[in-house]
Amino acid sequence: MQDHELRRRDILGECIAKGLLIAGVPMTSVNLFAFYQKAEQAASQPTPAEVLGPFYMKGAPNTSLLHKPGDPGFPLKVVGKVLNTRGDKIPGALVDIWHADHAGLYDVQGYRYRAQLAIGESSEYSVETIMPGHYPDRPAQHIHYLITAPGHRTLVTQAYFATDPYFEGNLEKNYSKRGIVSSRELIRTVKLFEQGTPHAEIEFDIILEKA
Amino acid sequence: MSRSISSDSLVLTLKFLDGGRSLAGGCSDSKVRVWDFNSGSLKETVAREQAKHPLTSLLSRLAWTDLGNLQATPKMPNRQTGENFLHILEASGKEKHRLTAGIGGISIVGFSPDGKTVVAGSYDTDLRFWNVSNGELLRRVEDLTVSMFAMAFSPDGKWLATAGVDRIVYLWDTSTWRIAKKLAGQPEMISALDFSPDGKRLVTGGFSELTAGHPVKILLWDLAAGKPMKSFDAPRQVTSAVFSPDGQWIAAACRDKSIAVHPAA
Repeated sequence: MQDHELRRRDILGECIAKGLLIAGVPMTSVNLFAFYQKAEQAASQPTPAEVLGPFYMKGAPNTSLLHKPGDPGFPLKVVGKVLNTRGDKIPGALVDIWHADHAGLYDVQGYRYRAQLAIGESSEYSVETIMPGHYPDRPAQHIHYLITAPGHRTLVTQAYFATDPYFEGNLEKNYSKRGIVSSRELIRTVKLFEQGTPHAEIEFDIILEKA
Repeated sequence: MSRSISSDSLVLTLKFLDGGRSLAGGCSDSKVRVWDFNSGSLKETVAREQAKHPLTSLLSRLAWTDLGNLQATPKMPNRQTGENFLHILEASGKEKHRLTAGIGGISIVGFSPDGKTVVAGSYDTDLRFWNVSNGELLRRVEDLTVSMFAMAFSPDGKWLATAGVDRIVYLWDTSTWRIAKKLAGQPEMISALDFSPDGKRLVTGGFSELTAGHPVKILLWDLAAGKPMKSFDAPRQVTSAVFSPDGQWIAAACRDKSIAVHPAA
């Protein structure tokens, strides 16, 4: 599938270069090719990397339930897919996910709020947990990720929450405050669900580069 | 009798000088301060700009070996891939080896006392041991589940101690680079440790999970018994802990800018 995609892109590029593919509005082949390349780049940037941090723990369980019944904190669901830069599914990925508890503390004695998800053919993942808290040294709420997949570069990154008071309601202005968040792209919209058990949800797709 | 030396700036690294008569500290304001160990009075301040001054090495995370006249320099991990690199440099600054060392940043680095081996631990929790002369990876340890924050070789080079997030001191047999013993008892994460000059004791300093500002313990360990001999209170995270050359004292730098001095016997 990926080889087929590669050929398709290469052929497409060659067609533009040779004038075999033209735009609906007058465009030079150079401009058309640049437009094509720009569109390709925009659609295929890998997820930006972030720091691993000191509290990664190896050996977390493969579970979609990261919290225990009765744990304090607002329920949170995190969903996403693991894709390559062409948008294809990547089956067989391992997604380590970990975060602090509602008070901003990591469990360093056990595996509370930690999992290593073995991603199947669907390349989708979903976990139920609680909103991570803030802690003094790194005050923006975040979820850590470490993703490995056959044939792809390992990615270390983090997801942030657009609702975080740390951003003071102005993401564009404050996302890079104190150098805490490396990329605006890592901050995700938070959906609130009131029916059933009220909970928040974020979507965090992971896009990996080929090795 | 326990006492305290105060610093104007947070002390991150400690080293005894002049056979124990002076104590030097690499500080967070990029200055090295040197105190008279007995009186606690400040004798000298060395700024980072005095680059040729040997004490400025206390201001970085470099590891040194005088035997090969080499330094090991951990580089910031690659921004996109997270890969770590450890550079082994000659005294001239010429690169001898560029070693790949896991992902996420290097948390500990050091040379064995004979200068033949360099070790680095990474935030991906792996430890790596390399032959310094040819850069060959001797062993990669993937058994640890947490990051190590502190390390020290025994003076005879037979043991390496590492400790970190899981509060356990791991003693490695350097003939095999395998774990020979584990010491449990520190009530917090461990951020500092050192061997006594006779190799029979160990000092460890804590780092509370709550924050760097919470009180912790400084423990003095009897290695033969595998148990703490003494416990001292520290007001905040211990950033560095060392034995005096005569083995009679331990000095431990804390996040409140103090250096605690305790008897080690």
